[in-house]
Amino acid sequence: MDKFVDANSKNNKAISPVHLVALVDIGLFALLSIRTGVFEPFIMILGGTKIVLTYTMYLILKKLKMGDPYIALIVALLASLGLTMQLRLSTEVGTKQFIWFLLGMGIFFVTTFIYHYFHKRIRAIWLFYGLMLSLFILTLIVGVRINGAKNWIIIGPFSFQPSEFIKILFVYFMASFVSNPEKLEVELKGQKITSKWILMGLVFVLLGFFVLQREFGTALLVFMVYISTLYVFEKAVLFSVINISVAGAAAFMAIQVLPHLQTRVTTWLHPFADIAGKGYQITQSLFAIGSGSFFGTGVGLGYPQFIPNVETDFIFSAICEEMGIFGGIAVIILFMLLVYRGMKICLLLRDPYTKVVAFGLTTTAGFQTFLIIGGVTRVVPLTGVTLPFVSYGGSSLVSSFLILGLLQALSGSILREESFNDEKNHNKQ
Amino acid sequence: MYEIIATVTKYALTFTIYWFIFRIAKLIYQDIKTMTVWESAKVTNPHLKLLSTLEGNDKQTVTEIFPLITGTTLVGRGIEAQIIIADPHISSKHLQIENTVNGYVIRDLASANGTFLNGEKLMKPLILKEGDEISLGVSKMIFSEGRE
Repeated sequence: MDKFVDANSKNNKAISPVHLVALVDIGLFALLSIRTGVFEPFIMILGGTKIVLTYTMYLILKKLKMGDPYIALIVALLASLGLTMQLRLSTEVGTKQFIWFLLGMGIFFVTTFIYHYFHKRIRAIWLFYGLMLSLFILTLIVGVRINGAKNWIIIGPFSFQPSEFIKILFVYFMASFVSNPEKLEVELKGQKITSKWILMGLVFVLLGFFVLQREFGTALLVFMVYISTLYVFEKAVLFSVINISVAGAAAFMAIQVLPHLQTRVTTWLHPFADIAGKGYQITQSLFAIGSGSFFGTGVGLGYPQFIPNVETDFIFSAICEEMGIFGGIAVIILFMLLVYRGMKICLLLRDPYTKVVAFGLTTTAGFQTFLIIGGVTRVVPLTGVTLPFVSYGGSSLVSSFLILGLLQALSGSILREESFNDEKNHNKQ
Repeated sequence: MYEIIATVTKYALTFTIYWFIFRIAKLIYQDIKTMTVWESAKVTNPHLKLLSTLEGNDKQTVTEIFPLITGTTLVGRGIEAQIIIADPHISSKHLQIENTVNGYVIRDLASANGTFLNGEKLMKPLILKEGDEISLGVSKMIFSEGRE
């Protein structure tokens, strides 16, 4: 086993993090397989597959020197917690989630290996905008309404949420803007309109589409990514403030007009006023977190199924109930480390385009985590976004793994390419 | 029986998860340590400081430090440049800075909007001095020999 030990570490005796992920996997899956009283080999097979996949992924990334070794490991641990929690809630849902996880891992590898072949060619701002608009229009025409939001497309046995992919396209749209802002400049009656105002118009049209589909969570997420990119890369303080005020005013008006949004806000402010009705979900979530105490009830011993939608939006409450607040805090720390690594990748890149892509992908994952964990713990109003890598949902899991694959590709091949070009220029002299 | 096993495992699991977090944090810490060394090396060697003007504010701040090591450093907007600046008024290959025996020589590469050294348009290659201000597009850079 010696060759698995991290070479970076000065103390070679220290156990590599990948073994710890495997240890957590063994514990969780073994526990689940004996939960019903009889031994269930099926769950052990799933657990074994997960462990083998984790080691394969780690060794491939390590041997081929494909960049940051930590982000994939952090995600592997998050995925273990997510998968076992789904399996614990219901074997059927958990098995489906496991299939999505396998697909997600496949997408992660494909993206990591092939992305750098074409990342230089896709820098067309209008292409990304067109793709986003066509996804929106497609959803409006053939979309199906599930849980109040008309954002599902169903093809045969599969259903997916286009908005999960729109948020990734949006990052590329912003990156194209930051690296080539002059492409958005329009001349109107001899007067030049600055590209920033055009961008603002385009983004608000997108937000309008989100509101049409009642996807307030993703709209807020996209807006947060937009503002932080503007603030960080354009240093446009005043412009950001204008954007926030316009969006704030629009949101305030929307709350007055749309009853759906009004309910969200009132249940956030006064959850205990209508405890049996509208406030049921959030109060059950709070009770679950509370009953978990420090170390939780133990996996399989709590009652997380009392929370409606526990497998998607409220998975964090279920983790808090059964693994305790320490488990919950661990999840938050893992996401923080993930965001930190993403920012590190962003800082190491030199090309502004890839820099914005790395920044945007990291902030998307980070803000999404903040919105949903804040939502279920009643820090911010509840919005229907998923917890990346943990919540149940094919589109969510696949898009999260796509983000991870893109970050891995940026940290590996592209960083290497940039330093290789440096070297080539040196040797020419 | 299951309850006892689950209770024991929950402590073990929490411990293992935090152990994992601790290991990752430690590896990251070692990473940062090496990065700080590299960052300070940037300042002690010859480098260019990119200044940026905050919107609606005349105060200029250093946003990025680009080290100049050996050979020729290409500055521009294109992906071939070693110092890439996202500024629409900069050509893709705007100027180059060459390390010669006499010092660092700046040369404009027939850029569309020209290069200005201390406010004057750069017509022929010149040797850079400490604190020279290079303007290109709407961006400004300061040359520094580095300090010990």
